[in-house]
Amino acid sequence: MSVYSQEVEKIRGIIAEILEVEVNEVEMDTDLVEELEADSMMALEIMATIEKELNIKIPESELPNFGTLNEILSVLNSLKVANL
Amino acid sequence: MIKTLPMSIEEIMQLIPQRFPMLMLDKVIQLNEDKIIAIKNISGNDPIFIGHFPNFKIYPGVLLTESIAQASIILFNQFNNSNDTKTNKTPVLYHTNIKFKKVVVPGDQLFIHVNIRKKVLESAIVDGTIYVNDEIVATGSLTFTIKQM
Repeated sequence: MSVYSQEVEKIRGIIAEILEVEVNEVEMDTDLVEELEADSMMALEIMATIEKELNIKIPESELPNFGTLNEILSVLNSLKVANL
Repeated sequence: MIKTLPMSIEEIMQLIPQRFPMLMLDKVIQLNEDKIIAIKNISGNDPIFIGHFPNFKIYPGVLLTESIAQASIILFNQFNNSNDTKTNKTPVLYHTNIKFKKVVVPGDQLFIHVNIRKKVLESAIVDGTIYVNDEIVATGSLTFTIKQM
């Protein structure tokens, strides 16, 4: 099972809202720290909001893997596979 | 749970560093690992009403946010054995996202509900809602960094 495109757009929107950037600035491989000036607290807010919106539990150990939208989707995909 | 309930203001002062005029909780009536319910009574005698406002009294929203923050500190510090708040790690606000639904006036009794949504190492997000007469007056989330003060 993979993360559906609808969910991808939802996650893109969450990232954009928390980082206070336009949605189109969040591309799949945009570096959230280097290019969009995210910090560790913003990463935590992104993680917590995704958990709430998708009703999913993300281990704290995955926080360092929240560097790009692509990486976040990989984490979510691996969790969904693990939960099957 | 290690604290006896209800928790008095003297016991609250052992867990939070704030003092008059910034004590925004009077009593804690429920406390477990993830959730706290605290009470704050709003008095027309509160000096904040001298300036907010001179001709009519409305309790400032920023102090409602502060009451949620102080309840959060108790939630985080409840398992500390030390009574010295100077040596405890204290949550410091990083981001607030609170919406104010109704005005709070003298005579109101605030029921401050706070739940931990996510806690990672030295950071945490809580969801807080304040009720007066079972109606929501403020609700939202706070993000903290937890620092040694």
